[in-house]
Formats: sequence, structure tokens, C-alpha cells
Amino acid sequence: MRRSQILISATIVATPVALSAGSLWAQERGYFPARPTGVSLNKVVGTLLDYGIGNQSGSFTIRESDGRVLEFYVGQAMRIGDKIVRCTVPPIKDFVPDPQLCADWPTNVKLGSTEVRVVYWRSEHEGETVSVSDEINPLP
Amino acid sequence: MIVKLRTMFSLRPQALLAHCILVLWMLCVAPCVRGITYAESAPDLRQSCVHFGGEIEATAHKYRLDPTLLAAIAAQESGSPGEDSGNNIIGDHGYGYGLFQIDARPRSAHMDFTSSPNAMVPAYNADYAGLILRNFLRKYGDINDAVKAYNAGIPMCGDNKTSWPSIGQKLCYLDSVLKHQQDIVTHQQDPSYHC
Repeated sequence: MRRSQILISATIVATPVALSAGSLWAQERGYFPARPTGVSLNKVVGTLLDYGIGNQSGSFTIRESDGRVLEFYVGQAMRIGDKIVRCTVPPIKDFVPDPQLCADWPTNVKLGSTEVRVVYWRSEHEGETVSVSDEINPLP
Repeated sequence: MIVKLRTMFSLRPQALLAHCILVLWMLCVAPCVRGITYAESAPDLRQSCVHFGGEIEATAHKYRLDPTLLAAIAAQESGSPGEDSGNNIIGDHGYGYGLFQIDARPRSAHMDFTSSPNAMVPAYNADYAGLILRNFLRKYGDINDAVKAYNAGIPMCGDNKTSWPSIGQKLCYLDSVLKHQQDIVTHQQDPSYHC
């Protein structure tokens, strides 16, 4: 790479940072854990109720047949069915998200009605034991 | 100085000119193009010295959101307790981009935005945050739920993580944003408040 290209690239990255150097900020570290090698995996079946990716974490909920609602953090990266899904705010009922935020939500997965099998593992987050999933499989 | 720069990097005049134009574009032009004009928008936030108030006001106007709430989210994301807005920084260990700390992890829809230089231009960063918040508001129909989802994806308040020394409490994401907003509104209404 030529030096002029390096200089221009460095400027793109450095200018905004340099303008605010020394500031404190409240931004916490995001939580999008990757599946640890060899981790013990669990499976649970339920109706997918809600799903979304925020700027610090992603989450989804399912309702088991006994009515119990379970909450999961979204791992990196999320596979729904047979593909990686990048969608951050999926459609539900009459709500259609902006395509910039969700262009690849599987058409056979409907929030509020689709039965899914969730593959998850247990992890520690902020001093609590939580469930993390990177795989949701819609049931036929 | 230009001669110094040329010597330091052995740049041809054309390369140096391109570099200068790029810097000027980032600082002056980019925030005003593609419909994100804010110079003539409501001046409230800027009058009360909220950092990036113009960009926030323009976004609020475009997406019909409360500008004080957007400023509060910026303060929560890239500012600190007691601040009325945020900073244009890369945080979250390299994954949080700009004023509204848009998440840049791979395999997320936000990656399309964060992989462009516009991600670090406050006007575009605010605009993208407004788009996210507006979508969550359309989805949930409640602004508090939308703010929670902006952080966690679904309406979860989250852990009490943000420490506010002024009140001696740790607040969850939504409560901390609302505390910022309350402070911003108080400062706006206080003629003696100096930034």
C-alpha cells in the first residue's frame, strides 16, 4: 500500500477519535458471545415470541408448552434454520421493518406463532447465569 | 506546514490535495449532504450547548422523535453521567461506532452501515440511530420499550450498570437514559445554566 493511501486511511479512522480524545463515556462492553469450544449444549422447544438485536446485546424469548417464558441472549453469529441471519428487528404482525435493519428474516419464521427448537448454552454475564443461543431451528 | 507534510510522507501534490479535500469533506460537507441538513432546524439543543445538538435535532425532526431523548441516548452511549450529549468515538473495544455507538460486530445488519466512513460522521450516525429507534417504536408502540430495545434488542431494562455519583445509584439502561433526559430538560429551562 502506498504511503499516501495509508495516510488517508489513517485520517478516516483517527480524525473523529482525535476530536474527542480524553473523554469519558458510559458505553459498556457489548455482549454477543461466540459459542465456546466444547461447551455443553442444551435444547428446548417453544414458540418464538420476540427477537431483536440492540447495540449492546441481542435477545429473544420463547414460550414453552407449560406457559413458561424463557429468555436468551443472542450469540455471535445467529443461525436460524440453515442460514446466518443478520436481521436486527424482525417483522411481527403488521410491523414491517426497514430493509436496512432487516432484509433476511426467514419467511417461515413468524414471531408469536412459530414453534422452534433452541440450541443454547449456559454462561456467566454480569454476575448472573444466563442462557445464550446461536441456533434457532423452526419445527415443521 | 504543507511543505512539512509533503516532506514527511513524500506525497505528490495530487495526493496531498486529495487528503486535504477528504479531511474538509469529513469535517464540513458530509454532515450536510443527502438530505441531512440541520443548519435551519430547531435550535433548542444547540442553544443549550448540547454537543452535536444540530445533528440530533435534525434526526429528531426526520423521525419524529423527542430531541431531548435522542440527546439523552447519545449521552448514555458515548457520554457519561452528568453529560448532556455524547462524543464521536469508537468505544466498546472497537465495536461501538460514533455518537450513538452503533454496533459494528460482523454478521449484523448494522455492519452495512458501520463499514462505511459515514458511520463516524455524527449526522449520519445520528440518522442511523434515529432509524433504529423509530423502527423499535413502530414495533413496540411505546417509547420506553423502544429505548430498551435500542440497547438490548427486545424491551429488557438490563442490569443496573450505569453509576450516577450525583445520586449515589446505579441505574439500568432505560432509567439512566431518562435521568440524562431529565437533566437536559432541566438545563434547557434554567437560564442561569452555563455549559
